[in-house]
Amino acid sequence: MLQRRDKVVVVLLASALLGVLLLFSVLGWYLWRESVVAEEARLGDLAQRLGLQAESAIIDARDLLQALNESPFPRCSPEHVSLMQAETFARPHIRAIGFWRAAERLCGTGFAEGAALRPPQASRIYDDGMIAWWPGPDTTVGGIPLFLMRFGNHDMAIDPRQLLSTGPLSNQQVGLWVEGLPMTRIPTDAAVPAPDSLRPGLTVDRAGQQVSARFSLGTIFRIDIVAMQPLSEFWDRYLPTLVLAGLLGLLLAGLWVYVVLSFSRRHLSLTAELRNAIERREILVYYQPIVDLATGRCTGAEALARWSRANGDMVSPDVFVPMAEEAGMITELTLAVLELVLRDIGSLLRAHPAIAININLSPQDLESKRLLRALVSGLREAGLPASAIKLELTERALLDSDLPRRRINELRQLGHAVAIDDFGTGYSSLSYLESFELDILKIDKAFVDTIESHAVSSSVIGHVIEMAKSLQLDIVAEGIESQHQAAWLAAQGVRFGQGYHFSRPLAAEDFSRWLQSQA
Amino acid sequence: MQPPSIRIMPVVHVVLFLLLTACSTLPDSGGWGRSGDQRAPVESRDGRSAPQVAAEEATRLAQGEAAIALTLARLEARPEHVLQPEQTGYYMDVQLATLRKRFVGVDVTLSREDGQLRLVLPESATFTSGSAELTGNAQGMLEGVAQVLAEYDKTLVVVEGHSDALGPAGFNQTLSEQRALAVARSLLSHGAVARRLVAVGYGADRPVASNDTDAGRARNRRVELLVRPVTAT
Repeated sequence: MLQRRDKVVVVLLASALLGVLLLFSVLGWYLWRESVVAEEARLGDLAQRLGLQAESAIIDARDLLQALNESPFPRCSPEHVSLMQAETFARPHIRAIGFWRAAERLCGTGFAEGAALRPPQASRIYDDGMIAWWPGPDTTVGGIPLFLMRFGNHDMAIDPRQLLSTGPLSNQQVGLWVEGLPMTRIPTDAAVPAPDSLRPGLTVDRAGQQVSARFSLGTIFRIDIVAMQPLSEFWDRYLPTLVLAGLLGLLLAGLWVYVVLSFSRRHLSLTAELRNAIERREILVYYQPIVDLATGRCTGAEALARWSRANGDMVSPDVFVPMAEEAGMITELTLAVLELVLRDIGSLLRAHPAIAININLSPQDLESKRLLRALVSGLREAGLPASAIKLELTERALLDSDLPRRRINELRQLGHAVAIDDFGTGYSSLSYLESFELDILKIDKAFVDTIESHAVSSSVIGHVIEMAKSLQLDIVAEGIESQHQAAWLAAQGVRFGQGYHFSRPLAAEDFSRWLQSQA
Repeated sequence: MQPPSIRIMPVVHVVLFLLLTACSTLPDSGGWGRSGDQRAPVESRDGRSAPQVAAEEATRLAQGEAAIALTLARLEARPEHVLQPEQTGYYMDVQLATLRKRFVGVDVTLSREDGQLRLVLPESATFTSGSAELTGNAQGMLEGVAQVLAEYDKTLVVVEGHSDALGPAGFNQTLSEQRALAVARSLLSHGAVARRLVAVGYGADRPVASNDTDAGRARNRRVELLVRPVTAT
């Protein structure tokens, strides 16, 4: 008994633990994913913005050089120089514009008088005559490597850092590559890996404690942005979420454990309470009369266990009977019912020898001889014949054919009638039932319910009745609720019936009174 | 194996160097007027032995190289034509870009080799077939080249005429010379400075493609402009 209880506790605890683990891993996975996706989107937006900005600045630079080449002013005239100056000031990233004759810078803006950049090796010479020098030692002025473009006789020096100037880039390192060549990085000493060494999207490098993102654009020419930030930043950003989620998870887990434990305690304590109630005979027995459908006379009653807890709650038999079976104390319950029947209405039965009381048995009741012995001794003490107690078994109890068959024979030899409860709902075949020595079949309420208020009725109940009749046993129909059903069943040859049409289950005194009123 | 040109037409295999500075119409004519004197024996070498021809050949090649070297030396002596070495890379890059800007979509090949620029003008874009007469298009194109050369004046320009190997070598040689001259004259007429130009006819000596196919021969019939920076030493 205790072992069974321990097993229940262990199972409950294990399921509680499993639930917590599952909850946490699902939550953790989800949050990690969400964080990565959010970070990717954030860095991705940044990179795309930077990339588009850089691209449009370069396209604008080309257009501007073209416009300067086509400007009508005499070269190096005041108008020409002020046009170059206006265009320089209009763009924060332009540091200088110059007008050249071959390798001679004749006039321009930005650089000191006479100064000019003449890098010895162009990075790109395009088919349209555009020529570009990527930032490097040869394009460095004042420590800033500049991006140089020349088209025709005008050139332009661009500060590439301004192409990435997008407000606060706290704790992030960003690099810009154009056509696979490094353009700039922020901060200038940033160790940003080349884009080719990274896969697109977000890479979390746990060993290097870095999160890096690579995003590429290819509208006009290839632009790659590589953004990096320390992993700690990633954690800093998402730690509050993770902590909050962790707390929420703990709360949920706690709730889950509480639910499991309180359920188990309730369940376990309910079992214990039931045990007490059985031991103290606090179970009530109600009696639902069974009548002869032809005469309307009462021929007996089915004893039904009722359990009312100390706090007044009624517990349904659908709950406490399976509970008693599971806890291995169903036989205690059956014996309690038997004892209560003999105690409560023993005298009534002695006064009415034609009345018999049906007691429900569980499959477990057949496993030992306790019931048999209790029946014999109880009836002897009460001075009643064995015929006063009929025993109801469910079809389910017959599944294990050997022991039930023996017990049924023993019970019948003692003089008890044996009934099959809920006939038709189980899985026994007719021939299988035939192999048992039985006295009564009880047709389940489910079939009786199908008898409509009109004359025509379901063929199923007809079939069930035919089956019952073929076994040549007494038939009791359960759950009769109308005169129509009673009449229809009687017409079909069903002899007995029970149900609200005759009487609800009654307490002992009420049953006694009801019986007197019948007489 | 001998060079095929010698085997086919030993007599008229000529490398002619025309120093345009020798022309009387140009102010800067120098000692290269003598080059005209060398044309007479070239055209009357029939009957000479192969070793003699080869010797003359070598001599003329050497003279060609010498002509280029001398022109270069003369330019180097004039500071306005001389580049500082550290500016050479930038100068040639920008010059290439400027030429590309001029020749977007035109059938001219532009390339860099060893710090020099090479423009290849195919016959189809330059001359009427078999003659040394420039087409109208070519005149316009060469005007553009001349303008760039005027801006980028610290260079020596070698105009090389080339032919395919089909037909008599003498004819090919003469045609390649005349074509080189025609291009050089056109550049001069559009403002190029004569002392920076050297015109050379190579005949079929320097093919860039196989002479066995039409397409290859078409590529071989061409004039090339080799633009060399004049760098201070």
